[in-house]
Amino acid sequence: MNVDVVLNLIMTAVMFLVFLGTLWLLRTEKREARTVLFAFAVACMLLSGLYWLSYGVLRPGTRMPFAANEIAESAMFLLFGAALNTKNRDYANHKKDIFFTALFTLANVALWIAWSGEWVDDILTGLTIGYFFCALVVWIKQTNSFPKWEWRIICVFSLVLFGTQAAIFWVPEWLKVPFDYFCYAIMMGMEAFLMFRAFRTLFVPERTKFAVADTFAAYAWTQIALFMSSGAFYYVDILLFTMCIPMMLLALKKEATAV
Amino acid sequence: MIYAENILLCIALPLAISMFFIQGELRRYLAAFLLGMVMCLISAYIGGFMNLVTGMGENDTSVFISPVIEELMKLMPLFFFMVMFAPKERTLTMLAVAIGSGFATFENCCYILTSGSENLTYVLIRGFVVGVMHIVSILALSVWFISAKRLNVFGFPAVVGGLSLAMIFHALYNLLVSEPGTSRIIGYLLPLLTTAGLYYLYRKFFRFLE
Repeated sequence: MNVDVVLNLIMTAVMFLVFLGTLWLLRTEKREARTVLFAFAVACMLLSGLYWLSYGVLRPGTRMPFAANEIAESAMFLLFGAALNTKNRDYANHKKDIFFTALFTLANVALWIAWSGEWVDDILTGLTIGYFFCALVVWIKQTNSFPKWEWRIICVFSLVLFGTQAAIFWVPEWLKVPFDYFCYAIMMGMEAFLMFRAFRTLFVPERTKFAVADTFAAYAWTQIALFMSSGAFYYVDILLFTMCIPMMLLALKKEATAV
Repeated sequence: MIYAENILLCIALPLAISMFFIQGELRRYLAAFLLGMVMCLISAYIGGFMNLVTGMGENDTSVFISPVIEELMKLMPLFFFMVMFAPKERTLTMLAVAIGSGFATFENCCYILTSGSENLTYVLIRGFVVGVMHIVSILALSVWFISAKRLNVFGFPAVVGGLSLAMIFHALYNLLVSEPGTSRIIGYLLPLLTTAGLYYLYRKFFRFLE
């Protein structure tokens, strides 16, 4: 078994447990729309993971053509976005944030297209992930979960990351590797920072109201990093991504019990 | 090669005639059943077209493309019923079951005419598994639509989310049964086990609705 299959197996097993946990949460706590949508998003992720796993085992070494799992992944972003939107109230007050989030998504999509050349796929994924990012940013702003200075640091690091990634296309060959490692350093640093925040939030009772924003933000960044990584960094990102999903469930549980 | 349109006419005409002599829910069920058969034929046309356009080959088209087309085609009449006639919740699930049954029946007819019906084991597996899978996927979708409406989250994300779940479930089944051996057995068991779980949830769901 190769590393991809093993990591996928771990991820799928975790998704299955999270799915059961979400069903348990729906059974024991008040049946909230947010948790129901989260359950559906996790089900999409679980089936998509199973599909990848089956494909990896049944047809190893072949490139998967367009398949239903890509639709499931896009649907997952829509469902996460819809889950956040169930409690997002003041969209009108965050037009500027939505505009910059859309720009951020556009920058992501441009890079994906430049790397893969799959226009339709990348634009469709970009639209759905953009919806999720907008819903997340509005929720973060609504709950004030990130202090202003932290938010500014995230914005600056994002700009530097995309600037460097774009520069890699034009710089001389000998500069490409150091630039690449610099990007990984920023991505991993941000991941560590957001994961730490999310962990802290889950264990500090006073931060209950920030739990959903913090864990979903960690998930969002891990997802961005996953799309930008390869090799060993990709494997680390998959593990971090796998850790984010149970944290999101715990955050929803905290929110449900707090209500 | 078979003439699917002719087969459809042959099966559908007696059913269509019988609709003149029945009323109420039964008539609606039969209409949705016929619609399910028509949707199956259209899916086959689109699948064939995609096969030609992409050059993927029959097997790969049925594994990767067909689940997407078939689930989308099954959704269309259900969505139409729901939006145009706003049926009662129980009627909607009944229509979903009818569309799924019609779809599975016509698909099975064509499959058996193509591959032969001598092997009883194969016919039984085909009848149970495919029938169950088409019915369960659209029934689950209708139940999700009802729940989403009740929770006030019925919208584009909810529809796409539900539909994609049906697609990936169908695609997973197709992928597993495309290779012989253990994966095929798991593939056959997948819809049956899901049905058992969904049947339990379905009964609870209607108790919850009442």
